[in-house]
Amino acid sequence: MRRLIFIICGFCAISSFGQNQGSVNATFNLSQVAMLDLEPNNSTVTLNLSSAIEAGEMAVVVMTNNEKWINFSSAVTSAAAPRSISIKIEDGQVPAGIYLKLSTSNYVGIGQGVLGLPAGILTLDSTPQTIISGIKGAYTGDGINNGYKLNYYLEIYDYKLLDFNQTATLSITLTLSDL
Amino acid sequence: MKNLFFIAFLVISNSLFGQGIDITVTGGWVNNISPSDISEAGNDYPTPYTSTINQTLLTIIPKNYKKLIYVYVTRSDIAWHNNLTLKIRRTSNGTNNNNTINGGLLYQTITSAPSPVTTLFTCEGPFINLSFQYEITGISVVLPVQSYATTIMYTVMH
Repeated sequence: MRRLIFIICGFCAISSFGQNQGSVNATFNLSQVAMLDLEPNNSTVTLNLSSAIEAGEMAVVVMTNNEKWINFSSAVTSAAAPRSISIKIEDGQVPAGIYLKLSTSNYVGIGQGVLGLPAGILTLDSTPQTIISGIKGAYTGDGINNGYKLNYYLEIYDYKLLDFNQTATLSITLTLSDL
Repeated sequence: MKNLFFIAFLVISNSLFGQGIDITVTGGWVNNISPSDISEAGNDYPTPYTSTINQTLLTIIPKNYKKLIYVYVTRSDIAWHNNLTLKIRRTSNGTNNNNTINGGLLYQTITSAPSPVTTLFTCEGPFINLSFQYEITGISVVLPVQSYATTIMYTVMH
């Protein structure tokens, strides 16, 4: 009798129950990204030295449009080495008696990720120098007030070498790379 | 020995009298996320990404047309990241002879264990080629570059 009840219950359970499964896959393939941009534009930075107003005073550095913002987007594998941004004078020579200096601010903006660290103040020459290091998967945000602010300026190191009739046009390159 | 007979009985009677449901699921989603999707340096990928409206087609053929069928969906991850959220919505009634179908028209998150499974919709009777669309959020340059994959499991039950 007990067995019969058991069998009936089992039969009822089976006859009222049905289940089946099917599946598909979803795959998202991400790629490496390395994009770099200057904001508000990559127009020419103009730095002028003008003679002192009164005898005994220092020459005056007049700067126009000398601030730029670095924006970047970077995507790397988890095993990849951190990236960095380097700068160098690609073409042209800084006039004698002055240094072309670059100050890189701390990061500001709406970006996220591993955004790296700035090198601070550098004297630019034709050798690549790292201005931001330790970048991994990150984006700075787009436009001014996002990313790292670059400030170009001149510093006189030897007055006797200055030639106020001299003009130099320099081409400067910024590179985002895996190092 | 008794137990063995009973198990054999369940298996045989299930095939003879059980009210099973046949289903067919076709159409996965492979999305190659391109760096060209990023409009300008400094930006992230645009989000969300959506599939076509008929990315997956589901056909349900129950043996008993009168019973309410529950359709559940869940995720079984192959390689995943916690920042990613996969959603699904039903975009058609398929071919159905005016059978009843309810729910699933708004995006719902597809969860993975141990979270409860998502009840996608309910229906009665057979449905051929119900279509589904997916949406993924959280795709970002911040994520490590790799392939992220999951298996989307459809379970029908009554």
